[in-house]
Amino acid sequence: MFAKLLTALVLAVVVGAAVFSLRQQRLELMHEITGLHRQMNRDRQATWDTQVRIAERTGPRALHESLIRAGMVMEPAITGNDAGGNTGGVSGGETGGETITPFADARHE
Amino acid sequence: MHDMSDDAPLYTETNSQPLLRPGGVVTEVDRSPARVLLVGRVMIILVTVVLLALLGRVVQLQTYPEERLASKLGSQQSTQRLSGRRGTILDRNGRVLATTRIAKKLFVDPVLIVDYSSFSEKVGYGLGYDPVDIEMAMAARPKSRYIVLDRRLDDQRIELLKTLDLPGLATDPVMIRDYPQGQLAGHLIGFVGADGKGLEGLEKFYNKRIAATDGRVRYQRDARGRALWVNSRNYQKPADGENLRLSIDVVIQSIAEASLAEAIEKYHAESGQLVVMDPSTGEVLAMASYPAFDPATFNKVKPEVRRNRVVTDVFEPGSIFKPIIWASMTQLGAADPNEMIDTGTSGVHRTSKGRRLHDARPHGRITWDEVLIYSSNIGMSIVAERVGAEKLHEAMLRFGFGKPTGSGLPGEVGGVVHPLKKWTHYSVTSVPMGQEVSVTPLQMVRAFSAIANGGVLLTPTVTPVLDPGSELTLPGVRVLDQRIADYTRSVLRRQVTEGGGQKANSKLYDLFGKTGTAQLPNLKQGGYYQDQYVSSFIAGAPVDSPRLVVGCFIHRPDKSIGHYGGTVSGPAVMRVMEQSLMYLGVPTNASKDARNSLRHMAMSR
Repeated sequence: MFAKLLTALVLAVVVGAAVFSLRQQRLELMHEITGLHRQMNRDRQATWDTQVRIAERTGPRALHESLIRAGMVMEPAITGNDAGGNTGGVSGGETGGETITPFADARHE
Repeated sequence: MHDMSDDAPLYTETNSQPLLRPGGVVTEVDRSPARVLLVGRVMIILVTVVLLALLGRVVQLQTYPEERLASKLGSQQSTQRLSGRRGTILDRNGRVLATTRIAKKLFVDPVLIVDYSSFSEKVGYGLGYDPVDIEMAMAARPKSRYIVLDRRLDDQRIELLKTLDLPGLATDPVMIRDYPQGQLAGHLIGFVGADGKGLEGLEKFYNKRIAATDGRVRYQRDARGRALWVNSRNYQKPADGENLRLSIDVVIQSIAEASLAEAIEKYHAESGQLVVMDPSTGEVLAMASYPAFDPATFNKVKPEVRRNRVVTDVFEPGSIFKPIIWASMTQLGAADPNEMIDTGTSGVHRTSKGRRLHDARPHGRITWDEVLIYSSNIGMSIVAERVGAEKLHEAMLRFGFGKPTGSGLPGEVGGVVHPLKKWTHYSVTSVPMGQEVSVTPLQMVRAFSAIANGGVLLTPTVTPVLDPGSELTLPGVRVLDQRIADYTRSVLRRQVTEGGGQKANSKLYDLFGKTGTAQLPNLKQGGYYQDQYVSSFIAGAPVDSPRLVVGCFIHRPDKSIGHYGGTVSGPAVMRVMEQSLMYLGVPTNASKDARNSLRHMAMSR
C-alpha cells in the first residue's frame, strides 16, 4: 500500500515538475519573443531614419552641391545614340549613351 | 535477578504481549493494518485539502485578485502604443518626398533641478538655446515634470547632448513627418499637423489612404520595470499607411523650381508658377510655385505662401490663349492658313462694334499663320467676328476652361468663362486675346498639351497613369483634328523662330510655343493696370514628337527690367525644356544630325 502511495506521489511530483518546467520554458520563450519584438521595432525605426538620411543625401540639390564640393564639373556629353523610352522608364544617370546632367548649364554660349 | 550475559534478547516481542523496554517500562503499540490505513487516509485527505486550497488561491489570484493585490499586479503591466507609419510619398522613380521617422524631443523635469539659473546656462550654451527662455519656461511651471524645450532635436544637438550629463534633462522619442527634399514640391505635397493628420496639399487629399493605424501592446514587467512577456491576446498589430507614388520627377521638379526662382529674382517679380507636363499622358512631372516653402516649417510662412497657386489662383492668360482660339477657328474653317488678313498699317483697328484694338506694332497684310506668329490682336479679332460668340464660347468649354481639370488636387478652381448671356459686344474680340477669361496655370498647360499631342484633351494627374511596360489607354476627349493640331504646332514653331518667342529658341531642341504679356486687371477701378503684367510663355518640344509641355507664368515683373513674356518667361522655359529633355534622354538636334550623317555615310558606301 505504502509503495503504491509513494509511486502515486512520485508520479504527481514528476508530472508537476514537468508541467512547471514547460510553463517556465513557455515564459522564457515569450520573454525572448518580446525582446525580439522590441528589437525589431527599434530596428524598423532605425531603418526609417536611415531612409530619410539617404533621401536627403541623394536629392538633386544635395548631389549637385556634393559635385561642386568635390570640384567636379559636369557637362552634357551628347552622343548620336537615341535613348528613346518613355518618361516613366528613365530615372536619370546615364541613359542610352547620353550622360545626363540636369544641373549643368546646358545652354549654348 | 536477570542474567545480563545471557544470549537471550533483553526483551521479547509478541503481537499481543506488552514490550519490555530497557529500564523495565512497558508500553503498548497498536500495529494493526486497519490503523495504518486510517492514518494514511487522513494524511492523504489533509494533503489534498491543502493542495486544493493552494490551487483555489492560485485561481483566485489569477482571476479575481483582491483589491490590494490587484493594484500591485496591475502596476507590473505596461501598455505601450505601437506606432504605425504614415505612408511615404514618393516621386515617379521611388525617391522619397515625404516620410515618417522617429525624432527626439528634448524635455526637462524642473522638479529634479536645484538651481534653475546654472542649469539653464549649461543647457543653453551647451546646446545653442537661449538660457533665458529655458529658465522662464521652468519658472512658469516649476511643478511640471515635463517641459518640452525642443520638439525635434537636430543631429548636431543630439551629439552635443551626449556630452552633457545633467539630471532633469532627457529626450523622448517622437514620430515626425520629414520632407527630405526640403522645399521641393512643398506646395504640392502639403504638410501635416502636430497630430499627424494632413492639413494641406496631397497630405490632406490622400490622408485616408496614407494614414496609419496605431497598434497596442500590453506586457508584463518585472520588479525593475523590464518587459517580461507579452500575451498574444494583448497584442494589437499596427497598420502602416499605404505609400503614394506621384508622377512628379524630383530632378525635373528641381530644375523647374531653380529656373523659376532665377527668373523671378532676375526680374524682381512678385510670384510665379511653372508646370511641366507629359502631353501624351497628362502626367504632371513638375509643379513649381514661387515663393517656395518648406513643409517641415510650414507654420513659419503666411497661409497665402502655402497655397498651391498652380490650381488655386486664376489669371487672365492674354496672348498664350491665342493658340487655343486660333486652332479652334482654323478647324471651324473661319480662316484659311494662307489667307491674307489686313491688320492695317497703323497698328490700330476699330471692330464692327466700334472697339479700338491695338497691336504692339503694325503688321499690315499678313497671313492667318502670321496672325499667330506675330500675335496680332487685330488679326484674331477680325476672324473671331466671323466665327461669332457662340462658337468661341463652345471652343473654350471644349478645351476645359471654366471648370476644374479633374486633377483632384486640393483647392482646384475652375477659372472663369462667362456664360454666353453675360457676354458683351466686346467679348467676341476680347476672348481671342485671352481677356474676359480667367484660367489656372494647370488649365492652360493642359489645353496646350492637347495641341502638342495631336488634339486630345487629357485629364492632368499627379499620380502615374501607368507602370512601365504596361499599355497606355487613357481617357481623353478629342478637341482638335490631328492635322489641325499638327499644323498649329508647326505655326507655333515659327512663333519661336520668327515671333516673340525667339529668346526661347533652343539650339538643342525645336520648341514650339507662345508668349503672353497680359496686363493685370484693376479690380477696384476697372480696366487694366498699365505697369503690372503676367508674363507668360508656354511651349512644347520636340516639335515633331512632343515629349514635354512647359508653362511659365510670372506675376508682376519689374517693368524697368523687362516684362514681355518672351523675355521674362521664355528663357526659363527653354532652360527647363533643355535640361529636362536631356535628363529624359531625348536626343538633341545635334545628336540627330550626327546620326543622320552616319546613316547617309553608311548608305553611300
